[in-house]
Amino acid sequence: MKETIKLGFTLFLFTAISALILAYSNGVTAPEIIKVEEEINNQARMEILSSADAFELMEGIDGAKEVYKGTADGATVGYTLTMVTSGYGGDMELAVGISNDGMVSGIKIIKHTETPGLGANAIKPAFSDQYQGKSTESVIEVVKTPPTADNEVQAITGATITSRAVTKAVNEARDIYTSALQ
Amino acid sequence: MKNKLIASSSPHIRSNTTTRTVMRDVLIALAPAALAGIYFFGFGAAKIYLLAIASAVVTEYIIQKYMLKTTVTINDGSAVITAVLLSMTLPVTAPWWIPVIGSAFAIGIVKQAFGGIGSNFMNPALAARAFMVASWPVIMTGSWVTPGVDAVSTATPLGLMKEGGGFGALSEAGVNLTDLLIGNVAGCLGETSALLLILGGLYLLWKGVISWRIPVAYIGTVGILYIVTGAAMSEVLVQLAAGGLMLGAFFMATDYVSSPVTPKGRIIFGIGCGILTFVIRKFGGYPEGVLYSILLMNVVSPLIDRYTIPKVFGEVKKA
Amino acid sequence: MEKNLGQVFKNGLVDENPTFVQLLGMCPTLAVTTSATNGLAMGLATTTVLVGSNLVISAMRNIIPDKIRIPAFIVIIATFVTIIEMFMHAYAIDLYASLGLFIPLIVVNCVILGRAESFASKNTAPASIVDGLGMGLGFAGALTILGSIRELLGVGSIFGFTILGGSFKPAIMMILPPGAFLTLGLLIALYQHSKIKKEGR
Repeated sequence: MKETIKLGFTLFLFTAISALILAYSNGVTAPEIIKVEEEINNQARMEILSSADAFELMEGIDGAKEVYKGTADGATVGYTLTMVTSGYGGDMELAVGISNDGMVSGIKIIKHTETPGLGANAIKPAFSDQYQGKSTESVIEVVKTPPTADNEVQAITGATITSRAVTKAVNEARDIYTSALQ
Repeated sequence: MKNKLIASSSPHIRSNTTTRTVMRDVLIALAPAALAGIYFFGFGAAKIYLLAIASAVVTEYIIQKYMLKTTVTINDGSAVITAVLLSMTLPVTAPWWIPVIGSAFAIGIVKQAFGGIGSNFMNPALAARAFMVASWPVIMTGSWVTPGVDAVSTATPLGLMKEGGGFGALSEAGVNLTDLLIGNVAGCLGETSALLLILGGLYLLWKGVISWRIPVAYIGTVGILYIVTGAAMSEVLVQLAAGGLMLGAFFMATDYVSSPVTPKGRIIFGIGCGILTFVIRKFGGYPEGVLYSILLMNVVSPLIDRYTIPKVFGEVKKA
Repeated sequence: MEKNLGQVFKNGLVDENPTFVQLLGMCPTLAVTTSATNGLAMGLATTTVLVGSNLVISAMRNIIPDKIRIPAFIVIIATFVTIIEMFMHAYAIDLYASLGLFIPLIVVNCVILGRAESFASKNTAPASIVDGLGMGLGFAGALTILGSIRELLGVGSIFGFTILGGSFKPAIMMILPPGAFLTLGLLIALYQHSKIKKEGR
């Protein structure tokens, strides 16, 4: 009995010291982590809505995971919408930037688990830049050949499902923009 | 060292069947469909066959002669068969290094690294194809052409059905059952002509090289599953004739080494392949499921054998 | 018992290499070696934890009661891992993003607990540091080799520098899970082959 208590107390000492050390390093790193994360997210938003210099989170908009309003010198210039869509290998998360003139200003895939060499090519500019400048007025379609109409994007070779998933998310972002934000 | 005499219990059956004669029969059976591939897809197809065979034989020779320092067995024809089977699953648009690397992988990794002929745990040709589909998906599955001189890029019949939303897409594209049987459709070199593949299969059955159990159970299961799920008869026939089903069922699933040896086990193996093929074609992301079905069943065949060993005559049940 | 430190170091690096000989820590070995950079980073992070935990455990080997040594080891190891994770997140965000999931798994890497149990708890602090360094660098070296081969064949580059460019078509499978098993198997075979050859002489 006495031994059990002694052992328990020793182990408690170990965990307590460990907790102290961890608390200290958490104190050092936590503000830094928040800063870094914030910076990364802001950079991502800048990339797809380059006309904005500041972003603020908007509440109460359904359908998107997060919506940020982008402003330049205080005036609204557009929105970034974080969308979740299901790709070939699981959920994909992408941010869609829509500027105030009703154009898609850019998209960025934030998280994905698509097949390397196929669906993962969606993050490459060759594919994702196609969305830039698309109007929010018409539905964006996926085609397998080089696009002929303004509202068409060419699918990634061998990854039609991924291409469709991304396009679906962009179309949903379009809908949210036209119905709730415009 | 490996060729020590094995004293097995009686009866000792003598026959003239050797690896060589078996492999010769398989080659004869494969020839019509392979030649049809050359006829339909032209010189490019012949080049792929030759490159694959050369690479397989050279790989086997180098490994056996210089790395393992054992008897070289390239004369038994098994490396050639592997190469031919592999080529039959390649698209005619494949660049020259695809058959070369494929054969080298099949022989070097899947066959010799696991102990050579008789010890491979999977069908070498299929495993090599799986390796290449995973490595170069666009080359392996993204560039089909129609047979003939004016090779137009298109999708395979199964691809059409998967992408275009069902059976109707086929007739829209002008593909009919006769084309499928003869082999006048887009696809891998040796899988397009269902009729010639069946012919080859029947030859092997007649020669006693393969047993009827795996092909019949396999093809039957796929057919029945489509009928049960309400497909029209014409669609069922198309599903059976399209893709790699005939090639897989007669020539790949029946591989001696990687399929079960017990009669009951072979039926189970065939049914398993059939169910998996159906499930992949119907619900999976790939248009065709023969490849992965056979590979998956290859892996479980030792288990199937274990549970289907016939009772030894006169054995008393252990208490 | 005094140990030859050079021998201890070489032991971890080559003779009892955690990856090729002991086959320990296979989860990170197979999962993160999709590129040379990832392999090296994972290896170095593991080395840091290993040296730290070996040092602390050997210094306290006379204080830790025998009966609760395993939970005590785990607490020490977990503390080191968590600290590394926090600092990586704060100051090396790119690395953190690509190794993220596997950093906490260092806690259960058998190499670390294995060394704590079989070496650090029986040896002096200096010897344990050397052992941690040897084993850790052996692990890091193996992971870097594995990552380099997979990156070279699967992407055409090493450490991000394109080596096989132009007409080379990378074999994507090499950076997928099957490529890890394939490469590791061949490397182990090669290692054993050279070992047998050496001993035969």
